Amino acid sequence: MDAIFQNFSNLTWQQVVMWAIGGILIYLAIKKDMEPSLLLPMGFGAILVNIPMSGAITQIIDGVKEIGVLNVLFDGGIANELFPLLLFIGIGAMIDFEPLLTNPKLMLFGAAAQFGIFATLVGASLLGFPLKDAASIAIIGAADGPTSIFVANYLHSNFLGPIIIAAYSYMALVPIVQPPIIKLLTTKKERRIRMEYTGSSVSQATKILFPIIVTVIAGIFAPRSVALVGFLMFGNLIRECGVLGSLSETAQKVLANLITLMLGLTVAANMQAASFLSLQTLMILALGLVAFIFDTAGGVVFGKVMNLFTKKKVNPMIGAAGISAFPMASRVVHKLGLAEDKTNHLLMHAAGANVAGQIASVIAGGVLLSLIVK
Amino acid sequence: MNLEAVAPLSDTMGILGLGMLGIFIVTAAIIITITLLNLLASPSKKRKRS
Repeated sequence: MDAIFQNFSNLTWQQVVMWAIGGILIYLAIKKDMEPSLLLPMGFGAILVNIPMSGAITQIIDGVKEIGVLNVLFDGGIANELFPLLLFIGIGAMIDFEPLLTNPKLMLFGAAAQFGIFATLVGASLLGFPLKDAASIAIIGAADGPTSIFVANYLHSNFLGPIIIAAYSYMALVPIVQPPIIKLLTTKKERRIRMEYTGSSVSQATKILFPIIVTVIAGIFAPRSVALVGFLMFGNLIRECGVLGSLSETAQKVLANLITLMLGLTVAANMQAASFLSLQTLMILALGLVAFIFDTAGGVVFGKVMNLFTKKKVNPMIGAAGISAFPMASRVVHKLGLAEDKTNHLLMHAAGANVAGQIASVIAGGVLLSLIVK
Repeated sequence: MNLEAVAPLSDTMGILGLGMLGIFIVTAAIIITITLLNLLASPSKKRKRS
């Protein structure tokens, strides 16, 4: 009888707190529809790994090491960066780069909106995080889950769990985080600026050559980004080539869903109470918010600066869509534009900046790694 | 760089400057490429040729 109840004595209050955190993640996923495909498995996983002597994670029981399935999945899918890369094939197959190809200048907004990554690196270092952790925290500003996982894991950060939670949570919170920053940095007149959409068509050859050329360019300038960019662009090539419709559909739906499912559960292996409940976790969540704020500000301020030098004015709000969170950021800008003027449709420009942000965030991850890992 | 140590402000500011410069350089290269692709393979140009 003792054997049945003895595990109660192993339960700690920290583990109960982690159950509550898991419950909150599940609640946010179901009730608030916040990145449910990831937050729900992560929430359940947080409960799973915080049951005393959980058989889901590796434990040493009576001096014998018992391997847990989540650690097996972690070693096989995250420690070697496989899951985030495979997920990128699916994401690449989902993205339509046409709004960007018709107006390549929008790529500049994607670049400017990566400012939050580097600003957060400075902030995290000032708060005393070692460079590998500061850079891993900073990459939350990529607003791109797989890139965050890839970089944090590449640098062997001790804070993979909180970093991934912050990355996906703030992505889901973009509609709440961005509008006040955009309004603070722009005037009513600026938010009403109209942008003409030519809607010129792009040739099939351009759509096919684009992912190949971007891979080569990014690979030459930032070789450490080539796996990320390459898998993203491979997914897009499958989509655009016109002869792999079935594979494209599989990548967009089945592959992306399966990997997301595995990723969510596996990430939870890093959410054990002993390592997760710390002051650093709170600091990481705060720094993640800082990263998103500076990303948004970087894009908007770049738009304002651009207007000083160009005849054809751009709506600086487009800059906020330069963060990678797709399609939330472009929807936010579109809605803010409509709120100021019901006939001002900014969606196509914002979508162009948003997909540019997808590419730029991956490049930013590669550039960051190239600069600090020598 | 020592990844295990806290980087001084001068180092992280340098990474900030170089990082943003690097992203803009790659971005500029991509913009030029897209512009060239659009010029060389635009559907309207093909129509004119035919």
